[in-house]
Amino acid sequence: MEYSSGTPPVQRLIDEFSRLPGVGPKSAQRLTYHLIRMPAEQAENLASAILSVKTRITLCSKCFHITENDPCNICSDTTRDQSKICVVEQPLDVMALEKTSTYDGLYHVLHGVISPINGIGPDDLKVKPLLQRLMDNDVTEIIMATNPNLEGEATSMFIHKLIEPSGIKITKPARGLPVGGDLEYADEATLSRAIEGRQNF
Amino acid sequence: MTSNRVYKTKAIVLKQMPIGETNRIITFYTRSFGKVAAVARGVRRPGSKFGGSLEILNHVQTSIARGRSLDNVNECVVIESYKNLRKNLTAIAEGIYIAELVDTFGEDRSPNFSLFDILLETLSNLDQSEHREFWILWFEFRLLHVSGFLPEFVSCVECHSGLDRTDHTFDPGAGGVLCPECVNNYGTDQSWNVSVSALTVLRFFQRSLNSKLQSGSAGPYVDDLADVKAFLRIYMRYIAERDLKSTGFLDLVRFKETH
Repeated sequence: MEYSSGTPPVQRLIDEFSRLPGVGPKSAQRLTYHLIRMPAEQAENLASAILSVKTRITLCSKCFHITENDPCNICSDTTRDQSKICVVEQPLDVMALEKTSTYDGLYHVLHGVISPINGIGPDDLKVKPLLQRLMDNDVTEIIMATNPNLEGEATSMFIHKLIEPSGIKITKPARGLPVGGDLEYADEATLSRAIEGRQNF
Repeated sequence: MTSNRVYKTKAIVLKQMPIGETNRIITFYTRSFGKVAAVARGVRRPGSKFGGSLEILNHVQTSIARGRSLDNVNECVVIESYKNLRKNLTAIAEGIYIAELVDTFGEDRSPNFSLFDILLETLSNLDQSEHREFWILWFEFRLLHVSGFLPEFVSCVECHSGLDRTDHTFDPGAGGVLCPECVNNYGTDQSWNVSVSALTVLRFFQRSLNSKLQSGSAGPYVDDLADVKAFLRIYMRYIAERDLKSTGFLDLVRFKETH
């Protein structure tokens, strides 16, 4: 949206806030009036944080995770297992997996999922760079950690078909019961996957 | 006993769209109310009460509460999740394609029992995984029938004379196939050629509309579906007035399956 010099700054800020996901016009007004009452220093911190995110953050040229340095800290860490790549949908998935501290390989962020009904196909995702990475490096295992829903599974199956001829081992995280949940409340799909994927005690 | 605020119905999940932190807008095709969109709160959280019940293409029993702007999904139980279909990438792409067709042709809050029933029947045909391409075409044909767009294939749409077993001209504006004489008088620049091979299948479909095709009925036709597939694709696009979004992926996976 183009603003003329005559647009009141308050209205401009409200309009900008209401473009954010999950922020309606009322919330945008509330945020704006909160900012007006905020000390100038805090507001400047917020503004500079937003600016630095936009100017300093880029995508890693190897794994497409968001990063300040290219290649990212994960890709440039030589202590990590370079033979494993975990394929995820979004950068937030990398952060969730990193919190577990159980995975020490590399990642590849697709930046989306195949969603035919929304017209999103494999060419709209970072699939080709993944295939290129597999050709250039000694990767022995691909972990397909897309979301366990129809579109996530379809994406995994599609990539699996592309990689299969190369003979690289392809795995996916186990599907099953959430830790701390009650068995009786698990839905049939989850429970049947959990039984299918049972392990030796 | 249901109050006016809550309605219960059988439904197929057509599509989902993330909204807010953990919610999704689910588009159902319901048996009793036609196409309905409702918010499923918390569905993206692991451990949500909905679990996997709101997966696309699930046949479910659901109860939905009317809301001020959007309705809310209260409960959802899976009746059938078509497990075989979900193991096959091409079948998934085909299932999503028919979901998009129903999303395009189905009307908001206007029930069409026949449309619901043929959708259900086609999903179970896709789940059986044999002659899936034939069942998709049979679905497309009946979708045109139940939504009032079915053209005439057996006789000339203008002069009603019988047609020879040969290629003919199809004119979507006229609503069917024209005989060679009528093409000269009534044909428009929108018309296109439809081959005898396509017409054979289309006439078989037209004759079979009031019967339920058994799994064996696909047999004689499965090797000669390219023309009828192309014809229905063009006609669907003509009716929908746009390209269907899921056809690109469908064509890609079908191509990869055979090459």
